[in-house]
Amino acid sequence: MLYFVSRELALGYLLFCFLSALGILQYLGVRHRIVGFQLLTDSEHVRHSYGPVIVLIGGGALWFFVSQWEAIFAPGLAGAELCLLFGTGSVCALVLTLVLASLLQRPHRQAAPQTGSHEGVMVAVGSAIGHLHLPPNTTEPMPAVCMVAWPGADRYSMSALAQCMVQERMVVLTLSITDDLASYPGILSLLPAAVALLSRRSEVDPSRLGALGHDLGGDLVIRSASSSKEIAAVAALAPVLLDPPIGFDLLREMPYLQALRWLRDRERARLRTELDALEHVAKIAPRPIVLMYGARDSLTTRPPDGRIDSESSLHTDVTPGAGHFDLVEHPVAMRTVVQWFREHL
Amino acid sequence: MLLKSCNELVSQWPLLRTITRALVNDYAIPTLLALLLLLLWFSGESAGRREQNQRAVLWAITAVVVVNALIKLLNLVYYRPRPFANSSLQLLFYRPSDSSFPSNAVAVAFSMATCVWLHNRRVALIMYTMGFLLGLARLCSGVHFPSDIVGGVLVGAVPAYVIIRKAGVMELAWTAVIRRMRLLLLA
Repeated sequence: MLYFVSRELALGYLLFCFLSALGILQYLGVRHRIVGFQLLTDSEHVRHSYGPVIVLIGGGALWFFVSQWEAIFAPGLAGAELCLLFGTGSVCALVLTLVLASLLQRPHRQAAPQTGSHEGVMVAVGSAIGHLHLPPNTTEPMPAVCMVAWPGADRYSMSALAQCMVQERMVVLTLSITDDLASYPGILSLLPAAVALLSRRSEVDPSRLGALGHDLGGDLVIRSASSSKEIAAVAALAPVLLDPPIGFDLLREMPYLQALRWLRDRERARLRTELDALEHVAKIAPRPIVLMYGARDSLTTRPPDGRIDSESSLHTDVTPGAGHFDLVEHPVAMRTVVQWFREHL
Repeated sequence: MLLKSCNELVSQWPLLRTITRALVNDYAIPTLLALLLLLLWFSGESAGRREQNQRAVLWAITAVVVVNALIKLLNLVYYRPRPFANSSLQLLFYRPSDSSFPSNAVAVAFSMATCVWLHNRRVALIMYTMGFLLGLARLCSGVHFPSDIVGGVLVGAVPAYVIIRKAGVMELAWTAVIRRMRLLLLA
């Protein structure tokens, strides 16, 4: 039978354990950049984020030992009671952290438009809606890139990259895979429709068309480019070529509730299997293709060397410091992509 | 002799006395050890490294249960009075009524540390240090004889080591536990 001796001591210890566990989880959130644990983290000033950790652990311990100093030197809680209180406090801290972080952090699909970004001209691409970004003062046909975001991403998710390409005098057509489009084989008609639209434009040189996709958008451009010879170069950013990892690593990229939905998204898993992009990478050769990943990407499994049977047209690139979602907005990745298209279109 | 000298030294110096009291109680070091296990569960840059840490945590919890049961059995067949019962020591702690041998708290600390040692040396060293400080504080406070501390170290570390080395079948159970936790995104 459990015997807690004194209600004040037991509640005090429970609160001490709760605060300490909360502090440990915040430490992990800051130290290992676990988005799902971060309640008070300012990602711009990581060092400052250790302040709340110190306050929670140090403050909790100081409060408990000062307020209970006499009680802890009298016969008190035994091992079983201590374990129960510690377990309860830790579980409460974990649940609170996961739920609060999910509520406080903005889901990735609700990305805000970049300040000063140009939204582009809305165009109909088959049954989908795209946004066309044209460089100013166009006098001669230019290379064009069709960009496909991940299913569920809003139309602003690739606007920064689109602006970089426009500055380098490339025409950009951004496409979002809306929920009603994200089904196989209907989704395969998206890129050919975009290519046809771009080819008809007087500003575009139809022999210099490229395709870029992020996440499953990357899988889609690989699959479409393997059968569409009009596409001269392909860039896939964080394509989901293999079964994605499951487990705690998802919390490095997104909060808990969003990660649970992501994990249980069967439509997404089915679409990845049906697109089967890994088997189609080799079919793009001899046209150039680049696979780009963020070094901190926890949502994709990179294909091991030798898994892709392709000629020298395949390049792989890993961007240090980038994750899965922020790869398209990472300055180094954006520079690499723009430079790569300039060289290959 | 050692017990008496340590106790006298600590009793003479107020700062040393306060530090000893802060270490000797049932809340400070045991809670720190448990927090280290919580930290260990979620630590590790790669999934493989993290799984090693999680196995260490599961072994540590098992070892604590086994070692506590072992000490209960030992106490049934052997009772040793506490040092303060028969000598003039200044007691810095309350008067525990159970057997002095072996030191339960030290046994628990060393069983945890030994389980972690086989998976993560750096964290285990911190845990061994905490176990050592706990033992020293208990000795200086007049709660245990030196042989109780040594007994605690042995009763904690040896069974923990034997369990991990011989109960390989448990690894399958830990694999299942970690797999389940992974589905909940907690491993």
